[in-house]
Amino acid sequence: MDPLRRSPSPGSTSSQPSSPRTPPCEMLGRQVGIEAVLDQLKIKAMKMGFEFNIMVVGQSGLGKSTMVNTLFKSKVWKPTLQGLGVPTPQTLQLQSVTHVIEEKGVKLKLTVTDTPGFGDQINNDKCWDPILGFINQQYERYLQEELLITRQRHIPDTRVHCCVYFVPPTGHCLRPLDIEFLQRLCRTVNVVPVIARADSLTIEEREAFRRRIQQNLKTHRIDVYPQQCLDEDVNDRVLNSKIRDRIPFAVVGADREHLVNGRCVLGRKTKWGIIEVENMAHCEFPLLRDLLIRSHLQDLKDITHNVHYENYRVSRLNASHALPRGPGWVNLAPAPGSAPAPPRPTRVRVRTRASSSPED
Amino acid sequence: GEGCRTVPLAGHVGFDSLPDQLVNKSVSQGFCFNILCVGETGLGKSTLMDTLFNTKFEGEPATHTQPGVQLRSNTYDLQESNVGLKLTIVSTVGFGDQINKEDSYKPIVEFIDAQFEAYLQEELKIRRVLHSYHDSRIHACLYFIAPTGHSLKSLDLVTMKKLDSKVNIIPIIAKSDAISKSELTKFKIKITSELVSNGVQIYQFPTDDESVAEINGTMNSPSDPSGSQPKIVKKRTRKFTWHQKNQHIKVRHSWQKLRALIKVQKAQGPDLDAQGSEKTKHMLPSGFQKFLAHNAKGLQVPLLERTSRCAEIAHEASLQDRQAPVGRGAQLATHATRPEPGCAKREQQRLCVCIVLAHLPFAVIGSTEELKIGNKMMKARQYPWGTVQVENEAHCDFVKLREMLIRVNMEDLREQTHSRHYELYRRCKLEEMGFKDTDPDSKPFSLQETYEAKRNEFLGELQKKEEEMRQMFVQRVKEKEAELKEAEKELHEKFDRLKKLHQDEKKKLEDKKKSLDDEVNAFKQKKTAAELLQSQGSQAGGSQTLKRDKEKKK
Repeated sequence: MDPLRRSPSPGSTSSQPSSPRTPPCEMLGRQVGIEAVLDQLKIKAMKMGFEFNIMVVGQSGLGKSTMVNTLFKSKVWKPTLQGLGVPTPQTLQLQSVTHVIEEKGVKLKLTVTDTPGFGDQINNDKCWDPILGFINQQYERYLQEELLITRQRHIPDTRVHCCVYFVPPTGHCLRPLDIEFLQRLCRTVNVVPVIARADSLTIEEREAFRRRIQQNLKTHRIDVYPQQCLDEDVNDRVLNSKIRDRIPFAVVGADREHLVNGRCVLGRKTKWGIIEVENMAHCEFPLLRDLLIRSHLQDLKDITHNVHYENYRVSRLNASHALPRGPGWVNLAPAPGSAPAPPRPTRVRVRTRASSSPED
Repeated sequence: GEGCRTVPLAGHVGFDSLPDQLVNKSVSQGFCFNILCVGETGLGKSTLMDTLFNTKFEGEPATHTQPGVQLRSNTYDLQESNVGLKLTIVSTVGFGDQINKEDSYKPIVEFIDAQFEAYLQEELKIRRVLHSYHDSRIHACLYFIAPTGHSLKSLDLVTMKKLDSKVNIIPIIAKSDAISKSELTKFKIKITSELVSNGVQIYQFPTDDESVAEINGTMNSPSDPSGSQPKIVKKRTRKFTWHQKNQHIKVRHSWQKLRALIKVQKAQGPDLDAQGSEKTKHMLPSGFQKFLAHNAKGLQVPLLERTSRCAEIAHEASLQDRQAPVGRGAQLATHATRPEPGCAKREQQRLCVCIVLAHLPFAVIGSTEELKIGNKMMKARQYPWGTVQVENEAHCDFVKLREMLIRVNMEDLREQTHSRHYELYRRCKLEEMGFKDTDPDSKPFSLQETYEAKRNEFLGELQKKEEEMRQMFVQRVKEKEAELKEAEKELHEKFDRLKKLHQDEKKKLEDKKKSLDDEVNAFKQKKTAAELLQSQGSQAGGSQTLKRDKEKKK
C-alpha cells in the first residue's frame, strides 16, 4: 500500500483538466467519506466474482495434478494414473478444466490447463509451440472481444495468468529443454518455476540445486515472476527480492491426509516418515501457495493484463504475420506462411496510423 | 472444459483475501472522479462543491457578462486517511446568461464528447498505457435547478435532454432555503413529472444489491409528515355486512338498522363535506394506498406514484422475499413503519413497508461558514429569522446527496459512465468511421482488417493525389517552357527585323554617300576643268598678250 500519493499529473491542452491547484497535503476529515469507495469496490468485486487461469507444465509423473489439487484443496483435477492400457499421448494436447470454488463469500472461477505429453517424446523439438499457440490464442480471443463495436460489459478472461513450470529434481542444473522453454515463455506469460517432487532431495542438495538454477536463469536472462523490471516501488522491491531469493520453490504435493502428533495433515507417507506438505521445514509448498493465492494473485492478473497482453496487442496490431500458431489459431489477416517465431520484446517501432506522407 | 461445476473445498485455501488484494492495488493506484456542475450563474455551484468535499477550492465567482458558455475545469488531489482521490470539477461559466440561449448546451456536449474522444484515442492506440491513464471522462453531472418553485425552465429541459445519453445526470434544486417545505414537495413532484413526460433519463441509483441497501438503510430517517396530505375523513370504518341472496346465511341482528342507514346515506347523495374523499378512498391510516407485492420485483413503483403508495407483502412470500423488500425499500430512501428486518416466523405477519420517495430531486443548500449552534460548530446559513443547518436532514437533503454521490455510488457512477455512456459513444463513433462487426456474409470482420483496408485505401488516395500533383506540375512546367520559347522566338524575330532595318538604312546611307561622293567628284572635276579653262584662258591671254607683243614686235 502506498501511503504517499502519486504526483499530480501536469496539465496539457485546454480540454484537459488543468494542473491541480491545492498543495499536496490536502487532508480531509472523515466527514466526506471518500474511503467508502473501497467498500464499494469490494462489494462490486464480490458480486462479480474473480477469475483465475493457471497452467501447469512439466513432464508426466512430476505430480502436476496432485499439486493443483493440493493448492486449491479440492479435487480440481483427477490425477492421471498411467495404467497399463492407457497409451502415452503422442502429441502435446492441452486440456482445460474450469471450476467455481467459493470461500467466505468470495467466488473464484478457476481454470486449470494441463499439458500432458510435454517433453515426453524422444524428439522434443518445438514442443513449446502448441503451448505458446494456446496462450496467444487466449490473448487473441480477448483482443477480438475488445475490438468489437458492441462489446460485452465484462469480457470473459481466459488468458493464462500464471504458468507453473515443474522442474524435475535431477539435482544438477536446468536441462536444455527447460532453458529453451523458459526463455520463450517468460516473455509471454508469468512463469513460476518449481522443483517438483522435492522429497527426493535433501535440504543441502535442494539449496545447491536452487542456487544452480538461479545461476542458470541469470545466465540465460530468463525473467521469471516476480519480474525485476516491473517492481514499482521500494516496498514491492523488498518483498519481491525476498521471493526471488527463494525461487524456484521446492514443493511436494499430496492429497491424502495422515495423522501426525494428533493433527490431521496433508502429507506423503513413506517408510521413513511422513512428509508434511504444509510444514515449512519439510517443503516450501506454503510459500508457493501464499505467492500464488494469498498475496500475489491480483498482481499476476494485473501484470498479465497490463504487460503481456499489451505486448501481444502491440505486436499483433503492428505486424500480423510474425506470431506462432497453435491449435485452433483463427486466421484473420491473410498472412503468408511464415515460420513461427517468438514474439519480440517490447521495443517495437510505433507507426502512427496516418503517418505516411508523400515524399515531395 | 465447458460447464463449470462448483467444487467443495476441503480446507482453508486463502483466496478470501482477494478483495483485499484488489482494494490494495486500487488504493496504490489512486482513484479519480470527475464532476460536472451545470447551472446558471449564481446558483451556488462552487459553494456546494466546497461544502461537499469539505475544502475550499480556489476560484473567483463568475460574472454575468460572459458572451458564451464556457467550461472551467480544475483538478485537485484529495486525500482521506489512505485513499487518494483525484477530483476534477468542471463547471459551466455563463450558462443561462445570454439573451439567446439556443446554443447554450453545445459547449457542454462538446466538452463531454472531447473527453470520450480522448479516452477512445488512447484506447485505440497501438502502444497504450491505460492503467495509468488519467481518466477525464465525466462521471456525474449535477444539474442545478433554480428554486423558482414552479417548474423546470425550458433551457433546463433542453439541456438535460441533450445530456442524458452522455452522462449520468443528477438533478438537484439549488438554494433550496428559498422555498418552503410544502412548496418544495409540489416542486419536486412537478419536476419529476416533467422529466418523466419528456423522457429524460436521469441517473437511477442502483437498487439490486442488498448490501448497498444495508449501507443506505443506516442513513435513513423517518420523513416528516408533509402537510400536503389531505385530511383523511372516513365516515365509517366498520365493514358492511351483507347477506348472500342465494344462501341462507345468518346475518347480524343489527342488519336492519344497517340497511336503513345505508338507504338513508344513498338517498342523501354524495357527501359534500368530506373534501378529498375521492383521494382518501382507499387510503390507509398512515396516509398511503397499498398494493400487493410478492417479491422485490413487485416493488417497482413508477416515479409519480411513489409518494402515495405503500407495499403490502403477500402472505405467501418466502423469507428471502420478505427480507429483500425491506432492504430495497430502505434503499429507495424510505423508511419502514415497523422496521423488522427479518421476520422469524413465516406465518401470516404482514409488514407494511412505506416507500416514500419524495426526496428526488435533492434540495440542497451549500455553505462554508461554520456557526456555533448549541455547543457544536456546524455549517449553516444565518438569517435574521433563523439559521438553516446544512447537515440537518429536516432542513435540506444535503446529507442524502453526499451519501448517494460519494459514499454509496461513486463506483457505480464510474462504472455506468464506462460501460454505458462511453460504450455508446464508442459504438457511434466507430460506426461513423465505417467499421462494422459483421459483413454481409455474417462472418465477423476483424477490426484490424478493416483498419488495414482503410489504411490501404487512404494510402491509395494519397498516392493518387500525389500523382495528380505531379502531373499538374509537369504540365505547368511544359507550359512555361513553351511560353518562354515563344518569347525567345519573338525576340529573335525582332532582332532580325531590326538588323535588317539597320542594314537597309546603312545601305541607303551608303548609296547616298556614294551619290554625294559622285557629285562631289563631279563638282571637283568641273571645278578643275573650270580652273583649267581659266588658267588656259589666262595663259591664252598671256599667250595672247605674248602673241600680241609678238605681233607688235613683229
